[in-house]
Amino acid sequence: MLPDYYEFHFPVKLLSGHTALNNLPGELSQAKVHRPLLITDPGVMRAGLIEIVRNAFAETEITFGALYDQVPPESSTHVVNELAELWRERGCDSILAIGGGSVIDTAKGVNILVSLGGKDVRAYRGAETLPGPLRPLFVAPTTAGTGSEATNSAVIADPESGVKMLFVSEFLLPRVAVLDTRLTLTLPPRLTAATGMDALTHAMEACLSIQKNPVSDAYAWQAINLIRLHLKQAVHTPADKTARLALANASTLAGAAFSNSMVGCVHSMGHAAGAVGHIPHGVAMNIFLPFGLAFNLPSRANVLAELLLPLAGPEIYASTPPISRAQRTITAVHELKDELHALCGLPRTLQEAGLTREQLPAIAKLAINDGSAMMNPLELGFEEAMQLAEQAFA
Amino acid sequence: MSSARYPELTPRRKPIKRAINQIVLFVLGRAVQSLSRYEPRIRHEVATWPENFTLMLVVRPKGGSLALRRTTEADLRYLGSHFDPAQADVVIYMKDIESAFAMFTGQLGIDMGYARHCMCASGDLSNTVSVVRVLNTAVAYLFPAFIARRLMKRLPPTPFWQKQARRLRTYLLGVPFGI
Repeated sequence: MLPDYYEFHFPVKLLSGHTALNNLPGELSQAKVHRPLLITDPGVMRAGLIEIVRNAFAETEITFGALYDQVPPESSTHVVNELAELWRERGCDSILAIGGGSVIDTAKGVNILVSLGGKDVRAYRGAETLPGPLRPLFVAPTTAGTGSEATNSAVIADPESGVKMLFVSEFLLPRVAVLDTRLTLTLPPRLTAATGMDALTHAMEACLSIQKNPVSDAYAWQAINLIRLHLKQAVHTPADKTARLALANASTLAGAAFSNSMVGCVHSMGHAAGAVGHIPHGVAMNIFLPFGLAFNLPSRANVLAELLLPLAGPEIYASTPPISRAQRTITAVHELKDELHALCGLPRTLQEAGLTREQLPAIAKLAINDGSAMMNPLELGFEEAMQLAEQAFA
Repeated sequence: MSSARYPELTPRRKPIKRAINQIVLFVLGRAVQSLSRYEPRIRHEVATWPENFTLMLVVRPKGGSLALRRTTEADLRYLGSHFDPAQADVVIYMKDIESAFAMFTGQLGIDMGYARHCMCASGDLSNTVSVVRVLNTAVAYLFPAFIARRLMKRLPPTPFWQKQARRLRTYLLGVPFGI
């Protein structure tokens, strides 16, 4: 069913392949830039991924104005402001971000400051109010889950107030995103599983959201399909290049989907559980996903029934009576969780993730104030959030 | 070629819709101020906002505005329609007069308005969901139930006579006198 009105925006050029980074220098030349600031984190440095980047840029006229390799696991306004100064000091003309969600969000924040001026990125917080295009931003994700390379938003923590600030603008989208198999090959199985479930949650929630639209549905469906076909294989055999590339694509497709239709209560609960229990985002998504789907079943049974096809495959879809398909979709997610738990020990419940029952009210309280709750089809009140937390606990 | 054949095309004006939007902004501002003194759900939400937190609703372009500030007594004060957006903590902009009209006349809820990109916002958005709950609670008093039900996912549960009494108080005292 078509919504009365919708918008869809995804102008990112994708370079996808086992050696896709080799094509990146040409993209910089086409953008007429030759001195990017390279932003990454210590994990990427330890994994030796920067050598792949240096090799890709061999024999070109492109010099990195500076290599910043200290982005923390949670992007912060201090780092963004410092990096903007570094960008100016070194006469850079663009940005290349190599890393996970934190690195890419940091790069988006730096791009705001170096393009629009100013010394404090906090001045630009908000939704859809950035004035005008930014500098060319190139990103190469090293995890397959956050989808930040395909989203129009950045979350950057303000250490002074303790608030995670939201920046939303179509101008935050990178010019080019590189999906290179070599960048995700070293991800350990459990992290692969968690980030894969993050991507699956992005895709499934994008299909349920009140902002859903036919174009984001198309992206989300393909993402779910790729995850069904390749997630378990990548967890089981981390060196499988085909599975790695498929998951990187799934993550980007899911990112494009939820960037244009938003996510819902699974993310609200997951953000809250992450803040209270300090569990990784992907783990939280894995825990809450089937319960969030079940919560929305009364208003989204048709959508959930349709999602059985990409999630479980044509045989299961065809052999399931139409009336049972929505519930079967939820069961399929439970089954996937069990299989991933058996493969790599990915926690299935809050208890397995190390949380206590006493932490549940705090999770519920935070969850109902999370922005994702607004786009959920059903109202997430405190009682409902407590119920979800209880279901996910054990 | 005579350029006189090709006149400038200037945008149409919609003074009635603009006037209605401005009236609703005033009614909403006064109603929220009044309800914030005795409506428990609104009081509970506003208590979680930082002291002196200032919220603005602005209809673009030049379609009117309202500003509300959280006081030290944890209620809201309507600051009128001529507040400087630069002084507000959060400014929610309605992108055009038609979207604002649809939302102000009970044709489109806040959640769906955001989903349809009718709004954008600047400032610290960490209180956004709470702000939406306050506005939805006020809308539930300002509109009859059969309209309000279409504007939000779930009507705030209020006993019938209590709701009518608060609605009467809002319309008879809150909106005209701000009490």
